[in-house]
Amino acid sequence: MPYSNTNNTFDAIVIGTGISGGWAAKELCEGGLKTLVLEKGRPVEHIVDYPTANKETWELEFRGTPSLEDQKNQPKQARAGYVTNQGTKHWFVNDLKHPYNETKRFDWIRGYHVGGRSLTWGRQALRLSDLDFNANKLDGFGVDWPIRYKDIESWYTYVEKYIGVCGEKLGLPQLPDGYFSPPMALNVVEEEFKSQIHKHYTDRTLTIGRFANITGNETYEGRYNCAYRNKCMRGCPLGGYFSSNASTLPAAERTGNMTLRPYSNAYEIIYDERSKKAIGVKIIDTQTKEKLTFYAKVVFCCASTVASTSILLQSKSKRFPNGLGNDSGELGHNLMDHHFRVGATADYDGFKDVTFVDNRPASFHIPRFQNLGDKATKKDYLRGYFFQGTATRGDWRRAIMELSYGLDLKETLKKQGPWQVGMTGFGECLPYHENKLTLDYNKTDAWGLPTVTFDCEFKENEKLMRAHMQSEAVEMLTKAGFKNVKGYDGAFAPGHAIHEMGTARMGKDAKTSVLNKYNQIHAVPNVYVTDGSCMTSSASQNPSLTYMALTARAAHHAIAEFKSGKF
Amino acid sequence: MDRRKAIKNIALAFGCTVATPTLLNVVTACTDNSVTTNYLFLSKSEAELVKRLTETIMPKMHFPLVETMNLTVFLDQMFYHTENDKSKENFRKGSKAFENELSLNHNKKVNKISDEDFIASFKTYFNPEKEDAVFNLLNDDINELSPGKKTEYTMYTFLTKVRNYCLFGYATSEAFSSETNFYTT
Repeated sequence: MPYSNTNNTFDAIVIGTGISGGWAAKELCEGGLKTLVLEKGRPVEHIVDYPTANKETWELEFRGTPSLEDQKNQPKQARAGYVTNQGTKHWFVNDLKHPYNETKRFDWIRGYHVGGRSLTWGRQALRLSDLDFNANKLDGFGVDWPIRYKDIESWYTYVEKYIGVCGEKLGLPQLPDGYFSPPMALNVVEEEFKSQIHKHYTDRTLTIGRFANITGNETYEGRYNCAYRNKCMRGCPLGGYFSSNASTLPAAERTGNMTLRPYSNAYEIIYDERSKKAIGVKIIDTQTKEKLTFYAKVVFCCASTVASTSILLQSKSKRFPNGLGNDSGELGHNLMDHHFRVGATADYDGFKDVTFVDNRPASFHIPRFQNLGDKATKKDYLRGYFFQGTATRGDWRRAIMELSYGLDLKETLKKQGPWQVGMTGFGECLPYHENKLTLDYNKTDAWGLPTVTFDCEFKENEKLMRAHMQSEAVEMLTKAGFKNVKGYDGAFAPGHAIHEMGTARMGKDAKTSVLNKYNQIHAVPNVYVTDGSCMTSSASQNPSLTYMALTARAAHHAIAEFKSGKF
Repeated sequence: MDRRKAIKNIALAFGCTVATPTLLNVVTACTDNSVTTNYLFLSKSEAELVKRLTETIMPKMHFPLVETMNLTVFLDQMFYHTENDKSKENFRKGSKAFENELSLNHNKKVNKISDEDFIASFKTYFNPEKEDAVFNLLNDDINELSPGKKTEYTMYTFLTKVRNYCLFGYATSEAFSSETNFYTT
C-alpha cells in the first residue's frame, strides 16, 4: 500500500526493512496489524532493481574495478575489500554523505535502501546453542541471556521453513540441526579434506555450509531454486536466496496491511510520560528534509544495530534523559563483531583431471571444537570459533607473481591451475562494556542529526583465539597431506565481519540490560528491538538467523499483547 | 570518417561490443582509412612503449579467431579511470626509467630499436629465473634501496603493471571466458 499524507496513525511502526525489519513487517501484517514500515533509503523492487544481476565481468565498467570517483566516495566501505566493485557498489553507502567517527578504527559497512543488507548478506544460517546462551553466565563476561535454546528452537524452525536453508544434519549439540533442504555438494578436494580430518581427529568434522539458498523440491512463493550463479550479492532475480525484497516484504504487501515509506530517516521514538509507552516515531524525509510524525501502539526498532541504538540514544525525554530505555546505562555499550581472516592456505597435488566450476554460492564448514564444556576441549581462551573455507583450482590470477609471457602464457591461462584450499576461522568476541558507540552532536550529518563515534577494539581473548585458529588450520591441512601450507593472520578491525551487535542487549535485569526476554525495552514494553543490537553475546555463528527468529518470536508476542489491549 | 568503427575499437579494448557512456567519452581522431587513438592517460611515447610490451607479453593470435582486443587502450582506460595519482606517477617514472635504459643499451631512441632487438632485451627483463628476486624486490621499501636498486624497483613496478593489465584484460574478456568457460567472479 503506497504511503498517503492523510494517514499518520497505524497499529504498528517498523523502523527498517533489512533482515529483521522484513520479518517484523511480515509477521505484524499477517497478524492483522496496520503497519507502517519506514526505510531510510531508496526503494528497491525485487528483480527490476538489480541492475548488475545478469552482467558478466566484461560487461561491468572497468571490469568491476572501482573508479577513482567510487574510491573517493566509498573509502570506508572499501575496507571490506569486496563490496565497492562495480557489481555491488550501489548497495553500499557514500561515506561522504553518511560520515561517522572513529576513536579506534571501526569498519561500518552498510547500505541504505529497501531490503538493507538482506540483499548482500553472507546467507549462512546457523543456529545458536545452549553452549552460547549459557556462556556469559558461566564465565562472567557480560550478563546472562534471558532465554535458552528451548525458547527459540521452534522459532528457528519457523524461520528456516519460510526462508529455505540448505545443509547437512550433523547431530552436534554446539551447532543444532535445523529444517534443511538438501545440502550443496562438496567438491573432490573438500571431500578428501573431510576424509583426512576424520582419519586424524575424533573431535571435528567438515560439512558444507548451511546457507539460505533454496535447493530441493519444496516451493516458496515467488521464489525459485538457486541456479548456482554465484552472483548473490548483486540481488537474485530468481529469489534463489532469502532477502526481504524477495520474500518477507512481498508477503507483508500481500496482506494489504503494509504501508512502506522509503526516504524516511527515523530519529526519535516518542515517549509519553502519562501512559509510560511510546506513541510514535519522528522522521525526516531525506528528499524534502520535512519533519513528520507517525503514531502507533507498537514500535519495532529494526534499523540495524548501530542505527537502532542511535535512534534510542536520540530519543530523550524527562523520564529517559540518556536515551529511551537507558536506565541501565548500557545503551551503546558492549559493541561486538566477529573476527576472522585468520587461518591457512595450501595446495593439493592431485585430482588434476577434475575441472573446477566456480559457481557454488557456499563454503565448507568445520564446526566449533573448542571449549565445549569438557576438560578435553578446554583452551587458554574463552568461547570458540569455527572454520569456513573453499577448495578451488587457480585461475588466471595465479600468473600474477610470474614473469612468463607470450603464446605459452596465453595457453597456460586456458588451463586450470593446481587445486588450492583456503580457510578462515570465524570467532566469538566477548561483550566488553568499554567497547561502545556514542553520539557526537557537534558533528552532524546532512539532516542535522548527530553522527556516531565508535570506540571498540578486540582484546587479549580474541588475540589468543586467533593464534589458535591459525595453528589449528595449519595443523589440519598439514596432517591432511596438503602441500605448501601457509598460515596467515590478515589485518583486521572490529566491524569488518559486518556483524556489529550488542549495543541494546537483552537481559534478565533492567539495571544491567536494555531489553527483556521478548526484546521489549524493560520500561517501555511497546517498543521492541530485534536487530543485532539485542544480542547479549555474539557466539561465533553468523547471526542473521537468530535475528530473524527473535524478530518472529517478538512479533507474535506483540500481536498477542496488542490484541489483548495491553498497548 | 568512420566514428562507429572508432568507438567499436575502443569498446573492444574492454572486450565488449556495446559502447558505454564512459567509452563514448574517449576522444578519437578519425580519418578516412585509419583510426588514431588519443589516449587519456598515456603520452604518445608511453603508449608506443606499452604497445610493444603488450604485444610481446600477449601476442595476438589470428587463428582460429582473430583477436581484436587492444590491451594498450585497455591499460590506458584503466589507469585514467581507476589508478590513483601515486600509482600514475610511479607508472610514468618506471616507463621513463625503462625507456632510458633500453635507449642506453641500444644507443638509440626506443622507437628506433628493431623488433628483434626489442624482444632480445625484453627477454632479459622477463626472465623466469629472476621471478623470486623481482617480486622480493617489489616487496621492499623503496626508500631503503640503493640508487641502482631503486631504478630496478621503479622499472619493474612499471613492467609488472603492464603485464598485470595484460592478464586482467585478456582473462576477463568475453572471448576468453567463452572459449575456456572460466568466468571471473
